[in-house]
Amino acid sequence: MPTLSLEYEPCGRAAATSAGAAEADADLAIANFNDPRKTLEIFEDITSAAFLIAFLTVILPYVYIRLMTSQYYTDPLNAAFQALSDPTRRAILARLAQGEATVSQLMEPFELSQPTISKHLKVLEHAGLIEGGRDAQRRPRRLAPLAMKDIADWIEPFRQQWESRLNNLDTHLATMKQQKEK
Amino acid sequence: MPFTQTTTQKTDLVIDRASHTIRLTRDFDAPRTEIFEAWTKPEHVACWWDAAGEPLAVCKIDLRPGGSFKFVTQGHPDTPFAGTYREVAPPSRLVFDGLGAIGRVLLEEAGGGTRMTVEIQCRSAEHLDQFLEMGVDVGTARTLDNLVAYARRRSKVVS
Repeated sequence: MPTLSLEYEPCGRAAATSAGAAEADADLAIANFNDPRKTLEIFEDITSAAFLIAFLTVILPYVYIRLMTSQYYTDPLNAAFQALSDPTRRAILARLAQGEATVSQLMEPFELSQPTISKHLKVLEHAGLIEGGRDAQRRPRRLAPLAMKDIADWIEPFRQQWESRLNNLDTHLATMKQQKEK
Repeated sequence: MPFTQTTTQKTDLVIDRASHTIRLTRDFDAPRTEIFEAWTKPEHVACWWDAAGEPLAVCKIDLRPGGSFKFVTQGHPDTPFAGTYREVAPPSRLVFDGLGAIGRVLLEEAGGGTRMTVEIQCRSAEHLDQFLEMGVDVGTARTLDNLVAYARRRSKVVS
């Protein structure tokens, strides 16, 4: 549609045309208001306005809520655990625990391509486990202390319990071995 | 994936939310038969089960599918760990029901020693949350420092 494309042309001519068109629109609106035969058209305008309002108040919030409750937007702890389920992402976190790092710094030890690292970082960022700058390539990433603390507080006692238990088992296995050798 | 599992003396803990499973992996410098015995004979279980390091006050084991078990620690006599064995397959596999979850002990040979995987499969994500909170001393909750220390240990092993 060539007439439409004119409006998007970033030049003075197009701006002048639309300014003139606005003036003409205002004149037409007054004429329509005074002319009863045009009320149907105005009514159509109201209908489309109603659709717009419905879109803004019903459809948009519905889509927003659906999006927020989808698998990517479940509770933060859930998102965090999903992010932690991947061994490479856990290794990236372990690396970031030593200090912040850029994408290229992360690429070296992990022998992974830049898009793969970026994909993992996106998941970790999404889960709120790491933070970083807006410039995806250069700004260094670091652990997000609060999110990691939530996880740590929650999971550490359980992990500690099993760590101690299995340390005991390790010691006991050594004792069993000694007893068998005697 | 060079970072999936590495030879480490420490326990690796993974939580798989999709299958409501907690998975602990650890390598031991002992044959599978001995680890299986350590899990299934009361005189052995009594020595290591209590994380506090005390011998168990009660340790009953009826080792057969359908047979029951009961471990009671000295520190928490009111909250025994009790359940029923489902599968007894020495030296590689022991499956039991306990605290409403399915426990699996899987033993595989690994470099002269044994890789032990303990799976705790819960009924639902909510059950998994409860399970992690249950029977654990909340007072010992660790902070970020511990996680960072843990992550450092892991990364040292990795690199």
